[in-house]
Amino acid sequence: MIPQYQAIQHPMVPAYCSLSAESIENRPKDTYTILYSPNTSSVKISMPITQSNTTSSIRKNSAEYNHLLTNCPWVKDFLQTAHHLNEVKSLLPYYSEINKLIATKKFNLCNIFLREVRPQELSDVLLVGLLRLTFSWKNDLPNWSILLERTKQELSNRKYDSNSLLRGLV
Amino acid sequence: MQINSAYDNPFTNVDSIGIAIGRPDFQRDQQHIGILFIDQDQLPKCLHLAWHFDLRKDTPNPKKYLWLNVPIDPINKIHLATVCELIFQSNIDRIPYGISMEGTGFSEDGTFITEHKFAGLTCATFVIQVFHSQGYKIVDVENWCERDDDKVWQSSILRCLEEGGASAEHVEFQRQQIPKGAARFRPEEVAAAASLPGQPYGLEHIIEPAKQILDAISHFISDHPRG
Repeated sequence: MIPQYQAIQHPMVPAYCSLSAESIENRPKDTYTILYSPNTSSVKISMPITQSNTTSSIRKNSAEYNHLLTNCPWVKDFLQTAHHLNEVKSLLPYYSEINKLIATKKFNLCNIFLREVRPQELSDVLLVGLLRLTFSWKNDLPNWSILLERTKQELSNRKYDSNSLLRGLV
Repeated sequence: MQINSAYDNPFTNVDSIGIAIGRPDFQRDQQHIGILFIDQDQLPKCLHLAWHFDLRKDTPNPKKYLWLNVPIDPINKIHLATVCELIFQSNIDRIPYGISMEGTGFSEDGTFITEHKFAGLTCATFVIQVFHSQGYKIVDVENWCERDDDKVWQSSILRCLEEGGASAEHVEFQRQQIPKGAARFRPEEVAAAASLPGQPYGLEHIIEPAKQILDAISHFISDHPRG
């Protein structure tokens, strides 16, 4: 099958760069190329479109995000697979990791984690599960309320009754 | 409220999570309750506080337990089943037995927490706290009435704790709770509250469905004698 390509057109003459500043989720580095111009912030991304990467998105590697990845390397796998985590066996390792963050009161890391989560990339169970796992500490997690609002919207997009699914949380 | 026997409706038919209740010891007029759930290996298991620092996840015995569904959507049921696994892994030997649930609970990460060193749970209050920790209030704890025969049961539990090797400090703490008015949540009442829509329930609205469960257990025992 001939792969389709999507590209952001850029008028500048591109140059190759390493991927130290930005990366693309859900995708090994050798499956895509980032072209950039040194005098703009724009990038040109060229990669095959397949069913598995249609929800991929660029996540800025901020200092906080790097801090999260350094301290919680499981987050990288989580973000790449979150859409498919709908069973006890696949959810449990991540629930345990979030458990550790809360149990050791690493609220700053947990707060960054909640910020980096994108509801549209979460499985149905994780949409409610992340909020339920963390709601007792919502006063220590400023991003909890933000995630709640984004989750309501995503549940609505998926044609679910958010009031019913988030019972006890709202 | 549908009360299921595993002979007619196998435990494997539970939709991720439900309630298991029975009278494991025929010689005692005492019910036991646990959470029936499908574990990470896709097997039906019962998570229950068997006794003092004795949390178990075991295969439910169809000769001993009936089961009920809970009125929760399938998505949240999978979340709760995962939480059951998490609670078991985090608390295998960490939950003391205690007659008053005041100041106890599970944090949302599944860890048992208590305001007092010697506070603990019963099999029934364990089930309550698992649901409440995830935002599902099944009983109205604040307005649960204390009954005269609660103290009789509580005194018998104290004797069992003493004979079972609980520390003197732990037993003494439990003893101090009785005159304070520690209301008892009976297994059949918690089973009824967890399996009926419209939660949370106060005691007055749950007495009749709890009686139905007790009757079902009695019929089940007489229909399936265990020699």
